[in-house]
Amino acid sequence: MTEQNPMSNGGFAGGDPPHVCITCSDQLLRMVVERVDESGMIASGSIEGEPAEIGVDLIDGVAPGDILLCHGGVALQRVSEATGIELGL
Amino acid sequence: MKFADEFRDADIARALSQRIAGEAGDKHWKIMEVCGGHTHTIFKYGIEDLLPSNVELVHGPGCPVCVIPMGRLDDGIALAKRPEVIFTCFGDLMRVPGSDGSLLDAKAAGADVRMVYSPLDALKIARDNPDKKVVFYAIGFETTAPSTALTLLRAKAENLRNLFVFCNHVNIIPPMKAILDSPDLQLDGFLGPGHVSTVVGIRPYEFVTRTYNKPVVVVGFEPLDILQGVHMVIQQILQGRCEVENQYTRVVHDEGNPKALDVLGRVFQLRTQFEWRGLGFISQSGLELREEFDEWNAEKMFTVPGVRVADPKACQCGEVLKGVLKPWECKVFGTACTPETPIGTCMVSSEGACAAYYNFGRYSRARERERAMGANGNGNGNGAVKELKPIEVKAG
Ligand code: SF4
Repeated sequence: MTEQNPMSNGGFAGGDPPHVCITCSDQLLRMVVERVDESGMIASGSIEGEPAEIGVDLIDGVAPGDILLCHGGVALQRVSEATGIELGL
Repeated sequence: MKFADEFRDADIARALSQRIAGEAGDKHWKIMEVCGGHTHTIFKYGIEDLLPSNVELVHGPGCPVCVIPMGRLDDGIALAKRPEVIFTCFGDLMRVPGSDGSLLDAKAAGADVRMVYSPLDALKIARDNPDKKVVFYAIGFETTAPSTALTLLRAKAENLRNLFVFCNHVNIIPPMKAILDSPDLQLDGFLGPGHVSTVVGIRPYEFVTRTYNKPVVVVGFEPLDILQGVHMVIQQILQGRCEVENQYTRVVHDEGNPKALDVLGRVFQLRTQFEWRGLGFISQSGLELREEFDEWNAEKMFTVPGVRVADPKACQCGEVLKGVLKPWECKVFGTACTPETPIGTCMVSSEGACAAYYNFGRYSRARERERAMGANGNGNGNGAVKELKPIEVKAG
């Protein structure tokens, strides 16, 4: 885990208490992909404005500009720009 | 709706709330939100204040930290105390009291306990510390299990032999069945977990409608998602329908994420049974690593106490997790048991019903009184307010 990871606050996404436990809250966080590494398994981008790296093994053909919904360091869903805005994620 | 704030629109919330009140009639409705994330939203936005008093939301067992039994936690703490181990886990787990202290206490006493956001972070720690044994304490439902599965697949591909997973992953379906089989609680329907369903889809809930004749509506995490879900459950029953419906179509696909399900099947198998705090042993409710991953399986590679430990006498988490007791009905709620000094697990995670009630509930009730007196409170029930705001949380 990297210190700059916005979710590295002990696994809490919310900052000051009462924080949100990323596991218990069952939450998905939105990442806009900026880069995909050569293996195609790691994408980097930003989550809540902070740099982050995410495993993208479970989503086919991830490319820069994609919006991914992520949990526990892994993308579980790709959404369209419109849906991303709708979600407010 | 297109924007996030529209899912908090106070006018729509009031309109929905009035429709629910009109259609609910005199019957007392009990609808369980299974997921801890929903419990959090319900308290954060004062959703209960927007529902008529005869529509009761019952908080379910969908908080992974809350359902970890004390014996499994003690096993983790025993692993963390081993000098050759770097112990990694998600944040909330560190504060859960074991029978002799918490992981935080073990850390304070010198154990190398590290909080991680993802099991992939544990993988990195293992790579960076080849002379150490790195244990990842895996908890969570189907939303979280894929990241553990991917981590193990990568460790195996790299032949990384110093990473071990202590697996406590659980499935959401078996506890729903256990609750439905329990005579304690007569529910009218369920709000199904949104993001678990991103992975598993909506079909696994069909047994609830088929066998138990209770509707399930998979819902999102914004206030209007929850209100609409409640309305959909009530409408199904009034219209004589009993279905699995998907309110959260903007994220959840009916078939889930097939790739994630494939990865889960390659790495995990169902345990014969697994203990849940308060619910006891539930058959086929937990995941364990397949034999191919024995060398990464902390339960196979280390000796742990493996003892079943009873909850503290004062603790009534079991009843709270089953929805039989409201948090404030526990004798130690808010006195001996607070988020700062939790006795039970439900007070640790902010998705736990007790912590959510402690942090938000008291303000929600205060607001109700203010509203009755004509004051503006949080504004969730005030016609001039355009957007539902989170309830402010204050210490103590
Ligand atoms: S108040 Fe504390 S002890 Fe009582 S049920 Fe809640 S978490 Fe458990």
